[in-house]
Amino acid sequence: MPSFQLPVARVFWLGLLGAVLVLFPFFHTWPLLDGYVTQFRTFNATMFAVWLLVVLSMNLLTGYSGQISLGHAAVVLVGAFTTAIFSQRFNVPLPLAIALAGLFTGVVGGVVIGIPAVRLSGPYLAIATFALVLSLPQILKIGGINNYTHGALGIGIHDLQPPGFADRFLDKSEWLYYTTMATAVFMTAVFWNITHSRIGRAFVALRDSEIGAEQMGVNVPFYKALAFALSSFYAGIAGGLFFMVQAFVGPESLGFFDSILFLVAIVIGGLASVLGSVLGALFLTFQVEAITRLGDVFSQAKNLRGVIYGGALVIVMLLFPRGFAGAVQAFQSNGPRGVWRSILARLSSLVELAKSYAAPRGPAPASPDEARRQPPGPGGSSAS
Amino acid sequence: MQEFAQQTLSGIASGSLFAIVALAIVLIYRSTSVLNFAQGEMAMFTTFIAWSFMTRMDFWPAFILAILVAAAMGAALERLVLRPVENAPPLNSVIVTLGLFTIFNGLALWIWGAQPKGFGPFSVFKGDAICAADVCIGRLNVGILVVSLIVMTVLYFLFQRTTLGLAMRATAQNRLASQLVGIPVGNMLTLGWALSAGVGAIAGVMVAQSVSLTTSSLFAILLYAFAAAVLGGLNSPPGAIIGGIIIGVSKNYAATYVPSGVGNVDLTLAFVMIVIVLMIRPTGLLGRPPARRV
Amino acid sequence: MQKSTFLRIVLVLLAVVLVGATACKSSTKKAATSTPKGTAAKVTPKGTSAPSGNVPGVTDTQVTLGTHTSITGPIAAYNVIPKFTKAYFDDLNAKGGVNNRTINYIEKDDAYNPSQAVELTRQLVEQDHIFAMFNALGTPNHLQVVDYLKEQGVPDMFLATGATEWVKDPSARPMVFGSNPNYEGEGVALGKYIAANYAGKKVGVVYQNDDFGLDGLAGLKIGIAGKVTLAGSKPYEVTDPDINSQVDQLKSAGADIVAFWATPLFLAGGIKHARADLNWKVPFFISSVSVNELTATIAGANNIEGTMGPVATYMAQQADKHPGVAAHLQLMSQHPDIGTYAPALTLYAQYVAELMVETLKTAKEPLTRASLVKAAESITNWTCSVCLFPVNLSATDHDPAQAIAIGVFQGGQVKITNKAYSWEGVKVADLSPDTVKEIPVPADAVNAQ
Repeated sequence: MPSFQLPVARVFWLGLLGAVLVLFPFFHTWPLLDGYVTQFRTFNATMFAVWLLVVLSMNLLTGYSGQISLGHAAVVLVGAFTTAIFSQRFNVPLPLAIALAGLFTGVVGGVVIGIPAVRLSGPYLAIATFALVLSLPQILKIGGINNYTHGALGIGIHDLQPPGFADRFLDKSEWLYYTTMATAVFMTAVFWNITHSRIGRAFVALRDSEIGAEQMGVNVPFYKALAFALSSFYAGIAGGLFFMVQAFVGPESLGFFDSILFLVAIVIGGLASVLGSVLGALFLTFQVEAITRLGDVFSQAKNLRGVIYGGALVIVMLLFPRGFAGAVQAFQSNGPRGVWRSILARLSSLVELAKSYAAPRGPAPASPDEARRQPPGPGGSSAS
Repeated sequence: MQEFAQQTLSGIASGSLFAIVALAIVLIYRSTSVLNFAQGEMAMFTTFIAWSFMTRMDFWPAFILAILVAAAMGAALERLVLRPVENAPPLNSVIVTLGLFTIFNGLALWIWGAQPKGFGPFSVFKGDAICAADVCIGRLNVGILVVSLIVMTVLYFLFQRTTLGLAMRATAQNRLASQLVGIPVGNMLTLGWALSAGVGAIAGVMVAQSVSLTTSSLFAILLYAFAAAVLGGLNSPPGAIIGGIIIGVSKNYAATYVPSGVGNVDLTLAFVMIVIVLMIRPTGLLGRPPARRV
Repeated sequence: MQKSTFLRIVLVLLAVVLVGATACKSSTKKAATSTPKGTAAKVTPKGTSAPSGNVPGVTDTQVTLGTHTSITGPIAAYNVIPKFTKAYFDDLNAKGGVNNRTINYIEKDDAYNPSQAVELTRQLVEQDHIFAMFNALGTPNHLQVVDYLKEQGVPDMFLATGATEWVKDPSARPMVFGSNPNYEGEGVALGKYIAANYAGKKVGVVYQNDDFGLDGLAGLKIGIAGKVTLAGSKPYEVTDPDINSQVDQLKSAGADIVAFWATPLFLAGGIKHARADLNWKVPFFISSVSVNELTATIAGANNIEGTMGPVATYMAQQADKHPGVAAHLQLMSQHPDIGTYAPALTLYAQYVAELMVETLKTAKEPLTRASLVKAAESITNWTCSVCLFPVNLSATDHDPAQAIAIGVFQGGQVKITNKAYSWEGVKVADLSPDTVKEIPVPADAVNAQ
């Protein structure tokens, strides 16, 4: 619902956010803040913008459309390589190369993956994308292709400088921050609009029940392919930015482990929610540091990284399938007790489910139909 | 000719590793319709348990004990962790098994460390290679093949010739109807996981004897095992064995006969095979199409 | 609904900034005590040397080194190296450090994941303000950060690799130093040894399909110089489950000798396959990367018996005759958490830690990044306490170890033979059977039967 009168509070907060985002790279030089913000945070914030696009892209596919992809890192990697090859080999200007990468992965994602994926659903798609992410490094090194990708050695940028007009005011990392963050903010706004449009509702209908969506007149193959195309487009742009920010891409730059991390990010952030994506991107930005810091308190944490991530994935999926975004929402509407109550409700429904199976002739079971309606995502929260 | 024969035989040998892991994947998918991405890591974890036992006792008792521990672990996992997602969309169960994947990997690293362990070969699997006219196969690989076939046969009898098996099959086909006719559906699902984890333990012990035991030793095989399971049919145990062998042999042919300028293509081959099978015949060679649920 | 969700996002983004800011509070404080205020902002992005007295990571009492390495992840077996170097520096600090400075060594775990290596490296440079990188591990990871380090002017000391990519052209990578004998050099040396002992036979090669394996293969081809023919060269990928098919192919091609440029797990699997599955009793030659006790454990002592490969240090079993090794084992015994499964790896760690200390010791005051690099380039004829051969470096030679002895597996241990080769001061491009010369092995080192 578009509102023409902007509430004062909203303008204030938006303005503050805008100001913080614009001034962020300079915090580390300000007298009061330099004790808290280091130069390194500029890089953090830049990577946050890149991860935000990755998480949005993955959320579009998995959260909104219910398609499982374990190969998302591969799509981002293809975007990065496409950008690298266009910009470093064919001397296409970097912004144009990134746009081309987005288009390329978008078309490939929609046509090459999306159209076949119409036939593949659920676990089959997971297997196919799992195979993709594991075999991509090898594919990038195959004779012929490696003329473009430089095989195991990868491609670097050696000459990236802010353009002349900005060079006077900004150093390289500040320039990277602004271009990346501006792109991410713009694309998040676009994402917001897409998911709140007809298209977004079609995706959600498709996720909740393909047959139901079909009966409602949703063109299932078209929207499935579209979900892949859009998601891959975002991933491709993210890949291009990844290459620009990191100034290098190699066949091993992103792999299966990153795909799992992306999945952890969207699940604990919150499926099918822009807020959840922001939280997920935060997780990706700070996860390494968080584990290191945990290691200062609890020395074994460093060695238990896999257990912590996996545990978070399982616990959030079971107890709080709407992720942190859901918690924030519950908190906003009902305060801390709201959060607690929704956890309890979820717990007791789990107990019910376990009981209903354990007793062969017990009370009426939670029917599969009913259970299937349990969210992979919030269903009607932010998507409504 | 010698090369072709040797590559075929070695392909069958490494295919036997893929087959036995695929068997565990198929077993769980067939009885609970959950695709278990943690299968390899669970097998690796229980193999480490077996390794710990073996420092205290002989191979066979340790092996059997490890299978029992694995089965108990599988049952507990089903009850505690998988029960809530078994009826949910596949997305939820895939995410949970991926969580288990990293949990088991992390736990194994924490408990047993990064150091690779020398592991076997043990007793009957040890000894000189079996050769005929300069074409050889290791005793261990023959052993793995035999073990896979035994496991498959046992499973066949369990599923096709016993009431318990009938109940498990019914549960897999239609949970609600099974419940209405009085089958303890919950127990059947638990049993499915216990069985699969037990088969996983067998697979892990066999594989580790061939590739040595590390926290990543089963991961390298997982993709090929998935490819094998998909090729054979995700719900067909004999399909898993046949799929494993086909994947093993074709992987070796690819390594041998693809021109060296192209480089390695074995992973790519597994990927392409998965995609082709899913495009042309998603049920695989021997699988049956699942009923489409609304 | 829409409005409130939007607000939520705004609030969360604001919270992010605050959390991000407070999260780094503690570490900044730490850094602030060791670095003059304002250094962070003034580390010139394009500059190479900071003015004296204002050098990141250096105070009168401390010098800060950092690394990205594998504590967890697929190659975590190598984590004994950073663990040992850390223990060595701590031990040294307790004795007063080097030039009255203690070494603050920050090792960060990238779990062999390149994008994490980037984050950690930038954190080391921009937040922990390290003076130099030391002994970073993992080629794909380091490729992702090497240009950044160059741009920031951070010395990149003694990488944990022997790939020629890093050291073949010091003018292109002026701040990068290697540490292992380079793989092409050891390839030539092994090739020469094979040519001398198996003239007229056929050698097959299995190699890892990256800079490590390709270097080794190139060297071996140079070394055999046509005296031994190549039966075939078969690549494998680190993602493969095993190298069995490659070994089969070489057997079918009639190889009389097999050389491997493979990491311990693959190598051990390949050797097991050849001996146990194929009954194939040809001699094996392997890269220095795998000449350690761990490989023997995995492959089985029987299978690996007689396999030869390059070594650059004394071996753990020589402690009774060699004080350096004895001191190493002594330090190891004080740190039981390091892991004793591969003494060859911790002996390597001893060498590289001593090399770093020697460089710091030689560096002229005031200590700057430029003076550190200069100091490293001035090291001549210096031998570490466990090394077989001296280290020589110069402005045109950033490759410290350029000599190896041939080791052999006997009874599950690595023993040292009386054959050794040196290509001291030879550029990578000039490696040939003539420039790689046979040299004597220190008499007290030879213990092979």
